[in-house]
Amino acid sequence: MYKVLLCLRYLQTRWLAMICIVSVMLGVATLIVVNSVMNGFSTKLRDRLHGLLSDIVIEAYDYDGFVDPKAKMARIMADPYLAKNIESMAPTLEIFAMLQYAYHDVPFTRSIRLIGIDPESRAKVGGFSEFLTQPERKAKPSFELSQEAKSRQAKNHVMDRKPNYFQELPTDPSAPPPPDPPPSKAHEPHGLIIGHAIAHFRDRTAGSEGQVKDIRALEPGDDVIITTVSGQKLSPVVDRFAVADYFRSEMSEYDSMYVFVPIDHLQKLRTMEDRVTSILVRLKNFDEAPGVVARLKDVLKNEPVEVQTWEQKQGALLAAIRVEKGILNILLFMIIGVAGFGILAIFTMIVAEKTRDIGILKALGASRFGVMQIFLGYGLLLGLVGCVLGTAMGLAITHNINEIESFIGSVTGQELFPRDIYYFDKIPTDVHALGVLFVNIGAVLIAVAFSLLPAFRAASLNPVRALRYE
Amino acid sequence: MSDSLDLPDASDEKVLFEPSQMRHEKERPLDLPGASLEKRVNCSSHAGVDSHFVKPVLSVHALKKAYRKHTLSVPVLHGVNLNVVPGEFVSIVGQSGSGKSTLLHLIGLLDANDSGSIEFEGRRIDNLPTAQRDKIRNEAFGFVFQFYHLLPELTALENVLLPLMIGKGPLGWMVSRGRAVSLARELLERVGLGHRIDHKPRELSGGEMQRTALARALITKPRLLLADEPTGNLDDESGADVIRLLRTLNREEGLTILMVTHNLEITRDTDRLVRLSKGLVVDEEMHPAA
Repeated sequence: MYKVLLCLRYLQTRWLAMICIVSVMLGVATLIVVNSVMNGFSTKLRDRLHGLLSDIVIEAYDYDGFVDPKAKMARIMADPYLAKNIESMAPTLEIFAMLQYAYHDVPFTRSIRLIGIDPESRAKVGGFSEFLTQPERKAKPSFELSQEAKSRQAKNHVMDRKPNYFQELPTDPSAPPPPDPPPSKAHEPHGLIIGHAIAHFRDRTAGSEGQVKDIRALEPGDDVIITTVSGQKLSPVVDRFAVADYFRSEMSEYDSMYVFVPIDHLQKLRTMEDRVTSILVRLKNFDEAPGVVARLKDVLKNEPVEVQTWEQKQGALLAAIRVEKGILNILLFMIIGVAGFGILAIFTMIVAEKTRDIGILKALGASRFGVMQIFLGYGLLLGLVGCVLGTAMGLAITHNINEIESFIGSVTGQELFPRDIYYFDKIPTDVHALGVLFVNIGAVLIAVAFSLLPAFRAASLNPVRALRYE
Repeated sequence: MSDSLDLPDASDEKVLFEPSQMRHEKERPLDLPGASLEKRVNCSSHAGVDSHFVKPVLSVHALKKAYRKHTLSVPVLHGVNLNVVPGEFVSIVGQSGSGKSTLLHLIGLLDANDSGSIEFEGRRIDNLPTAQRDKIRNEAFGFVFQFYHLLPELTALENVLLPLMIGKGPLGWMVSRGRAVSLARELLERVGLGHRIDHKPRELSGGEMQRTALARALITKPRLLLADEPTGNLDDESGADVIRLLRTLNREEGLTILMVTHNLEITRDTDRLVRLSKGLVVDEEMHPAA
């Protein structure tokens, strides 16, 4: 009992102990905040990747794709195990392309990933309709232009106006301008769903306190020209589309690259009728993914396709995130390690200061182990108090991280979280209770471990020398 | 561990004694303060003399001790013999460096002797394992030091309770805490500090700290009180108070006391004076009037 009493009294009376507590507290709080933010980013990234890729991807080896996806899907669903576990499937056709549009008569050209989909079946595998911006389209995804977009489209005939920015630059400035190309056949353009970052410019100077403003370059109904390749010779093909909606997944890579168009039209453009590059598969329960992948490989064993879960497909990225998180944790635990050395130094001082008290305790019958327990208990107590305060501090910072970021940004004038990188409005956080527990256990263990040496030294003191210590 | 130690049991009942019941009836061969002839004969430092009369509570035989540092060896005790009978108040005097404090530390099992032996209540104790030495220090011995040695973080009451806290496990302490606190309060009252129980040592005078230390030494009902210069750091009046207390405890409770001092004045109140010089007992003096 005297050990507990002395631990508590030392805690109350030794201000040096406060330094140990603050060190542990800051280390624990830092680890919790950094882990929560990293978890937030990681979770969001995984959610987006998982959503966009669905659970399993049956993918062709190249951009020529594979034939007859319907027959393949029928064969898959004919298998009882697969039929039992598969929720839905969606064929997609993917190709790189160039996109052109005009903003205030200034031409813009960008490379994109053109994805042909059937909106309804694509929506069923997830990761699509929820990222559309028009509420009615979220409920019923389609490439149909809204009434407003149709009106705007009618006024806007980019191809018919033959703007000079689509003309080739003359090689000889003195040469007469080349004849106009024959007008394209007037037709109602197909709708497309365009990545939010393609259709908007980010103005970082427009907002205040680190906020950014999106300037819309393409309104619904505006024309865009898409150039891709067709046939075995990869001949260029051009077509006009009208913006139907925007795709905003808050993943910069996708929002700045993806353009969705009707799959049947893209198949025609590419002369790839009845061919697709992948089939996305959504499962009823993702835990069954390994079994389903194995069975799919079996069913499609003679087909030129690769079957992977979304995690396998993004394995390198996910592994990189894991490695990054692991290394960061090791580095951050070094902060607590530094706190541990603080405990070691301060405890050594306290043991020296308490030498005579240790002699008294031994004279009164305290055992070596009993004396050792006092200092180990003291280290444990400092660790626990530091952990409790650090956890409270870490959770409070995590909970208010956006307000803190905004405050620091306004004070320093530096944007800590550039929103144009991630397209997130807020810093995502995700507190894992188990992670917090591990951080706490680690911190307490470090505090106790660094108390061991001073505690052992205290236990080894000769009582007579300790009593005579000046 | 304690099974192998043939010492009187310091159980709860014994620890939580009434101070007025502190008499060691079985161990007291004589009625104090009469200090009869038999007692004086038994007080001889020559082991074996008249031991058939009264069995000594403490016997030190040919005790030697040297302090060593690297190759340098400084002999302190050269073969001390000393017997103390139950209920005796013995003072050890000698010049600085004569080895009196070393002798007390060896008897109190705070240090290890090089050769010779120490017997307590008929059993050799100097060669016991550490755990049993700790137990004897906690249960059988009481210590009073020159510099009081109170823990500054604890109040006077907590300092007095400390030996009981050390001796008992958490559960035993929980069970007996109430009675232990009552006893500690009673002891502090007895040494005249009933009004200072919640004071920290820094708030007490030297005399008050020494009386607190005395109460701490008594809380476990020790069978031998070892006092190392108990008045060495006190003014004359406070020193006299402490000696009066020790004398009262010895006379009224039959407490066996072994006191080291360099103050010959206070040794007049003791039963016997043992003079130490250069690590040997050179002289003994009885105090019939004590």
